[in-house]
Formats: sequence, C-alpha cells, structure tokens
Amino acid sequence: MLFLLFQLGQDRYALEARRVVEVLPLLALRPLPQAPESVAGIFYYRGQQVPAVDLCQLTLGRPAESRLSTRIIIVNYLDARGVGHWVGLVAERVTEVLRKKPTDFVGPGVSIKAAPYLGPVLLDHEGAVQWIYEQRLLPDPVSDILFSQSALWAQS
Amino acid sequence: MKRFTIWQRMMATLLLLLLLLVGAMGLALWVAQIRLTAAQHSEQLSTAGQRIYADVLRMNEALRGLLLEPPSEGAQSGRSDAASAESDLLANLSDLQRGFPDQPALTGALRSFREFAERTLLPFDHRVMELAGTDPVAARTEYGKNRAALQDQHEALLANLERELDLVKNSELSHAQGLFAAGLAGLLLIVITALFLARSQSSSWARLLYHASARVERMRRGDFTEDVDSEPTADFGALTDGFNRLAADLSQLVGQVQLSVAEVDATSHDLSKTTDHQQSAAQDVESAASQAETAAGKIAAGSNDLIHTIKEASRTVDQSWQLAGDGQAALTGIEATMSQLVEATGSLEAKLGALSEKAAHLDGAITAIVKVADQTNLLSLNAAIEAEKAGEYGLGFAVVATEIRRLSDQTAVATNDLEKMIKGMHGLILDGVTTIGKFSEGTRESLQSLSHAGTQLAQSIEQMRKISGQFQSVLESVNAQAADVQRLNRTMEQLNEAARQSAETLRQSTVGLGKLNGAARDLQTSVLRLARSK
Repeated sequence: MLFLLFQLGQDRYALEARRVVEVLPLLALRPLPQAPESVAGIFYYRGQQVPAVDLCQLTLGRPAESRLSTRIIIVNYLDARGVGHWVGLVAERVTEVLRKKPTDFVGPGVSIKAAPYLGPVLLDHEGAVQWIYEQRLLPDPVSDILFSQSALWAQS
Repeated sequence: MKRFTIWQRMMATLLLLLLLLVGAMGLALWVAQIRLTAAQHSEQLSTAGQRIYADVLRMNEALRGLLLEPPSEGAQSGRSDAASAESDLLANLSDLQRGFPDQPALTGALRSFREFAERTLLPFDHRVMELAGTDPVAARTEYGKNRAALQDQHEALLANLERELDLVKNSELSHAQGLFAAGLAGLLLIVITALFLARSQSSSWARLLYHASARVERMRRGDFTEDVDSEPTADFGALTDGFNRLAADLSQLVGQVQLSVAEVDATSHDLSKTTDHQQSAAQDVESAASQAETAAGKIAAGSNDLIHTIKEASRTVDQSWQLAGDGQAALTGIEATMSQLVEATGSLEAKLGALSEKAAHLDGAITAIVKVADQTNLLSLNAAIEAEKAGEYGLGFAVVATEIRRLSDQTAVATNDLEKMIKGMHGLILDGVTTIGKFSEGTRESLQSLSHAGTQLAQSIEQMRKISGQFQSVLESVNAQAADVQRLNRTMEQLNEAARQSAETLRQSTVGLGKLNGAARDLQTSVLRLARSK
C-alpha cells in the first residue's frame, strides 16, 4: 500500500495514495471571505472551483510556509450526504511516497475527540509517521460551509 | 785823544799787511828776472863767440874745398857755402854790436875784427875764388902765399874777441849777484816788519780782551760801578760804551726781575690751586669714563649673548621649518597614497558589486534548477500515485516514477547545497561590500583630515618662514645695536684715555709749577744778592 508523506511543522504524516487525485504546486489562492481561518482560499482545478484547507492552520494554528515543497494535495472528500467533493489540502514538504503495509501502523493509544483525523503511527529510522484519515479532516461546520455552497452550485 | 773803532783798526792792520805782501812778491819777481837776464846774456855771449869762430872756419874750409876739387864738380856749392858763411859772420858781428852797446872794450874788439874781415879776409877770399874759376893753379899759388899770414892775423883777433867776451860775461854775472843780494835783504826787511805788526796787534787785542773779561767777571759778581774809561785800553770806544750800557740795563733788569719774581710767585701759587682743581676734575672725568666704559662693556656682552640666543632660536626655527617641510612632503606622499587607496577601494567596491550581481544571476539559475527539480519531484509523485491506482498494471510505471523521484531528490539536495554555498558566498560578498564601503568612507574621511592637516601644516610652515624672516631682521637690528655699543665702548675708551692723559699732563704741570716756584725763589735770592752788592 502506497502512502504520500508530508509534514506539518516538524511532524511527519501520511495519506493513502489511492485517495489522492493529484499533487499540485502551491497555486495562487483566491481568499474566501467570511470563511474559517483554516480555509486558505479557493482555486480552479479541471474547470471546477476547489476549496483549499491549510492543514498547518488547522492543526498548528499557523499558515503553511510558502515554499516549493509546500504543495496542494487534491483528495476526494465525501460529505455527510455521501457526495464526493474535491478538496485541496495545503501541506508542507510534500515530496516523498512510502510503500508500507497497513499493519505496520500501530494505534496511537489515545483518541482525541478534537482531532478525529489522526490515525495509527508508523516508526521508522527517521521517526514517527502518523496516518491521516482525510475523510475526518474537516470539522462539520467547515464542511457544511464549503460543500453546501458547492452543492448549491452543483444543483444550479 | 783820537778814538778808533775796532773795525777801523782791524782794517788798517789788514791793509798794511796786504801792502807788505804785495811788495815782497814784486821784489822777489824782480830778483828772479835779473838772475834770468844775466844768465841769458852770458849764454848769448858764449854762443856768439863760438858761432863767429865757426863761420871763419866754414869760410876757410869752403875756400880750400874749391881749390882742391875739380872746377866742374862742386864749384858752385863751394861758392854758395862761402857766401853764406860770410853773411852769417857779418850778421853775428852786427848782433853782438847791437846787443852790448854799453861795453866799450867789447865794441872795440868787434870793430877791429870786422875791419879785418871786410878789408883783408873777404877781399882775399873773393880774389882766390875768381882765380879758381879761371885758373886753379894760380889760385892755389895765391892761396898758399897769403894763407899763413891771414891765419895768424884772424886767430889773434879772435883770441882778443874771446877775451873781451869773457870779461863782459863776468861783469854781467857779478852785477846780477849784487842785485839778487839787495832783493833778498828787502824781503827780509818786509817779513820782519810784518811780524812786528802782527805781534803788536795781537798784544793789544789780548790786553783788551783781558780787560773786558775782567769787567764781565765783576759784572757777574754784581759790580756795575767801575767805568772802562779809566782802563789803559780805553781807545776801544764802542766796546766801552756797550759795556757801560749793558751794566745800566742789567741794573734796571735786576729791578724788573725782582718785580717779576714776585709776580711769578703769586701766579705760580694761583696756577697751582687751579691745577689742583683741574686734577680733581680730571680724576672725576676719568672715573666717570671708566664707569661708562664698564657699562658699555656689559651692554656689549649682553647684546652678544642676545645675538647668540637669537641665532640659536633662528637656527631652531629653521630646523623646525625644514622638519615641517619634510613632514609636509611626507604628508603629500601619504595623501597621494591615500588617494590611490581610495581609488583602489572604489574599484574594489565596484568589482565586488559586479560579483554580487553575478551571484544574483547565479541565484536565478539555481532557482530555475530548483524549479525543475521541484517539477520533476511533483511529476514522480503523481506518477507514483497513478501507478498505485493502476494496480497490477502500473507496477513498471511505478519503478520509473521512483527512479525519477530519486533523481529529483538528488538534484534537490545538490541544489540545496549549491544554494547554501551561493548564499554564504553572497553574504560574504555583501559583507565585503559593506566593509569595503565603510573602509572607503573611513579612507575618504582620513584623506580629508589629512588634507586639512596638510593645509594647517603649510600655514604653520608659512608662519615659521615669516618668523624666520623676522628673526633675521631682529638679528640685524641687534647686530647694528651691538656695533653701536662697540663704537660707544671705543669712544668711552678714548675718553678715558684722554682723561688719563689730561690728568697726567696736569700732574706734570704741577711738577713743572713746583719747579717754576723753586726757580722763582732761586732767582729772587740771586737778585736780592745783586741788589745788596749794588
């Protein structure tokens, strides 16, 4: 099973590669007014408006650093109604892939309700890599704001 | 009594002596003349006798020669010889008759010989000569017949004549002898007279001089009373009168001298006082001049010290000036070097700027490389993801994607290193630029302050030069002052010398006054003695 690795600050995380639509460089984002801080803005991908969520902002409370290795990972997100939406995740150091078995990851031992997206942890020679469940990344209010709108657009 | 002056007496005596001398000379000349005349006469007489004898012999010889020789040869010369002998005989006889007319005996003998010659001897000869011309044999006969008688006759006459001539000669000589004796007697008389005259004159002069010296001796002793008239040699009137007048004048003079001595005494006293005053004044002047000389000497020494000091100061200023000049030159050199340094710094700065620019370009290239690597990385990621989605079909593609990703990773790492290196270099260059800029600024400021210092040094040098010139003028004026002081010193010395000399003169004049005083007193004593004896 292939995982896409990225960093948020000093910590390493991994996403399941099958869930990734495409990795894009950090495009110019159009800010979205009245949006939560974690929503960095929206961009256009294959003719669609796609929201971009800053994972750094979401987890560490600071915007991601503006570097070449800071990239946008487009994933397919299923909302509460089961409708799939493209979401851009802004993360740092998106440069590596890692092939591991899912059993190589072990449970964290603790479960934090405020961060349901944190999965089990893999330990290798460089340290720990925590599995991120992309489907649980967005809190409900944010998801509502983002995808009700897009649902409206989709309906229209 | 008739009086003669000394001059008249002397002249008379001299004239008398001259007359006697002239007379003696005339007498001596006369005697010598008489002796000479007598000698001439005697000589003439003896010569004449011999010549007459010789003439007769010549006549006889001529006649005999005529008779013995042939008529053709020498007859003419024999005749002319006889004729000349005849005429000589007659001329000699006439001379003797004319020379001694006052001797009757001689005249008689001459006349008888002449008569014999004219009447007997000459006609015989003529006759024989005529016969010899015509008939030599008859002539010889005639000659032989009369010759002996004629010979005897004329020899007797010649002997007579000779005797008479000797007599006349002797009488002449005795006469001359008598006259010579008389002349000598006259000369002796004149000499005796002259001696007597000289003797009498000298004795009278000696007597007069003796009396005059005695009179003077009396006068020397102060006796003016005795009159020369009473003396035996009173005929020298002028001298006597002179002596009398001299005595009277001397008597009067003694009185005057007494008065004068008193005056001299008083004057000498006054003069002595004045001299004392002058001497003290001269001493004052001398001491004042000496003090002034000392002061002038001190001033001269002071001014010499001052000159020395000023020269030292002037030399020091000159040295400082030269040092400052050297310093200025060195400063100028430093300034030039600094200027070059500033220029070099500027050029270095510019080069560093260019380097920085190049580094910036390098940065751009690196960025491009980084972008390429980034794109490659992104591409490999997406490829890997797509291969995963493809499942079994995408395995080979996944390998390629992995390789691409590794390559991009290596590129990224290398680029990262390069970027770091270039960034470090860039930082160093920027630091260098900054440092150089600061250094350049500092150098520029240093140059400005150096230039300022140079200007100030130049001003200082100018002032030093002015000061040096002023030192020179001060030195000149002080020199002039020193020369003045030296002149003053010399003048003071001369004044001092003059004062010393005048003091010396005064001392000498004091001594002279003392002597004058003594002389006046001696004179007074002598005069008093004279007055007492009068």
